[in-house]
Amino acid sequence: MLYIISAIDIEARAIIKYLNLKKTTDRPFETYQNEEVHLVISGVGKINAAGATSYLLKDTLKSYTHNDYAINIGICGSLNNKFNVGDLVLVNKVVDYERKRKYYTDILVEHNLKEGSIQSIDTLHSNYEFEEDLVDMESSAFFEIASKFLSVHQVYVLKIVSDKVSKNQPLERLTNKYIDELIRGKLEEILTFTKSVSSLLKQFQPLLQQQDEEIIKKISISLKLTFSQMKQFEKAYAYFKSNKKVSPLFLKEYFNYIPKSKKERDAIFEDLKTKLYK
Amino acid sequence: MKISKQNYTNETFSHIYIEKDALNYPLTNEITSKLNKSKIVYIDNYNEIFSRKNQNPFLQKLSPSLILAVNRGDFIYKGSPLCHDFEQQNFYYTNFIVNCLFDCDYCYLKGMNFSSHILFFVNLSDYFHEISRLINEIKERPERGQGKIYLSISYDSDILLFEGIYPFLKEWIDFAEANPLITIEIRTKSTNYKKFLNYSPLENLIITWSISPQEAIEKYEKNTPSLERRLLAISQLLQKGWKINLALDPILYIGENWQEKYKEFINSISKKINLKKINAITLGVFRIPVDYLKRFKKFFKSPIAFFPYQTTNGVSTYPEELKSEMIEFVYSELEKIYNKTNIYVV
Repeated sequence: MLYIISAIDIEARAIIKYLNLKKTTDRPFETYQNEEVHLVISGVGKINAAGATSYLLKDTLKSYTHNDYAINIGICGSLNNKFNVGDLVLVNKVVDYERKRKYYTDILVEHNLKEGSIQSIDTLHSNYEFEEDLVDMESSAFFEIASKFLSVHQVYVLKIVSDKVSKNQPLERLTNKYIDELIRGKLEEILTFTKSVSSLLKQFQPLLQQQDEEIIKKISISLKLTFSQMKQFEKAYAYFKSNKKVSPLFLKEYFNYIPKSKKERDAIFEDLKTKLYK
Repeated sequence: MKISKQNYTNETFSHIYIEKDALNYPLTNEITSKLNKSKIVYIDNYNEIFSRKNQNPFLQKLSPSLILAVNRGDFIYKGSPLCHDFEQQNFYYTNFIVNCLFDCDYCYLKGMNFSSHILFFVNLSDYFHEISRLINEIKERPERGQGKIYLSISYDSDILLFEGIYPFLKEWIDFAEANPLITIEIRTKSTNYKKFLNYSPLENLIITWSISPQEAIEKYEKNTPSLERRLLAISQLLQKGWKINLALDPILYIGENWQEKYKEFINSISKKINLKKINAITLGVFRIPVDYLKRFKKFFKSPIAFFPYQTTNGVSTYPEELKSEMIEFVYSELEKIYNKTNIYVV
């Protein structure tokens, strides 16, 4: 599942339309989704971004597939001459400017995007130092929270440069139309990147999948295994699957077997273990 | 050094994370100029990358990044009781490179480190300074083995893999030559042996080749050279007079007919190299701190992680009976063809 967090409605509009996402909730955050993508509009600033990220990713911890990944997509200002207005940048370093915290994604996937660093600030009017390439108001909070749910190779920040920021210069006012066009212009590149991440994650799944967990659970219940036996059973199951590269589906024959005594249960359990460790 | 590239993944070292302090070292420039296509990200401290808890070291193996840092902590450590000390009183190891591009299922580094990215410490001169200090300290205390030190420099990495971008070999050879009281051991599976041909063999520099049956290599030692290539490298350096050890470590349980396979393996060694010229052979079965094994189970899919080991004093290994059987079998096969006084069991 791809999870997208954008700060304002207009940053997400083109994505919602292109992916045909349906609105699902209004509160506490506006969310949209289809079968493969969940998107939330967080509102501006770090507190909103942290809250919305947490809200959006709350179910990922239960996932067996590890196919989940989260991306903060939006516009940002450029603090130096490395990037021009309209550039799409994959952020490789996120700095929380006020808290001096730093976050780094793991860019394991091949891509053709430009890369740069970003600093997230609390307010637009503070006289901050230009320490990184880009500036926004959400990505550090997004990254900090998202990486509590996911590994760092599943968390990305993609920003499109909307304006150049200069010291002591008033900020430009950006129109909705302008922002929408910026995002639309980069949609294809964004989606090519998300496809690569998705392919990588699909290729490498954890050893035990939902089906395996179900078999272990069913047999443990049916044979009335003790807690310690269940843990041993899990290990033996994992050994079999890692060794033979297939699930021990022959175990299904034990689904409805009810042992007549503890002695019989223990004997069956030892037999099961022997088969799995063979 | 060629590492197979998966679909969708970046090249090895597509990214270099550089500590700002490491920029002051010439080695940093040398490495970055050799890897001039890599993207550079500046960091304050290598632990910002290396020690993050929410990483997936299994996936990072597909596209490891490089981290250049300055070691501000310890430079040398007392050897672990899990490693072979060759009965040396002053057995130490050091790690100026951490992690490896090989992908061995049993490697303790995968349990020890949170990351599979490769870490280079660029202040190599500080290592030499600290080791010299230790040599002098021990020299003044005759009860500590007349100042002799056995120092392994590649427990936390297969350092020969990196000689092309981190030219450390000459410096260590020069150091060994200037310090006869120290014996340096380089442990490797690589076949990057040709650089040694540029130097004269040293009495106090030992290269230990870690070797396994070809079946174990294919199954559990991804990206490593074949047994045949390793034996070829060994025979080349033996001919030139280099001091070479063999490590049959870890001996792995590779199925019910493991005896047959190990017998065949030992026969093939004796056919390909002149065992009489081998300095020593060490034997040890797979063993690992139990906490590291837990991390194996969390991330890896190899049967090595899930075998029903026994744990004693925090170390997991094969059940006692199997362990003794494995050691005794390999030992007895080896002593038929090699001087048993030079076989060491860990």
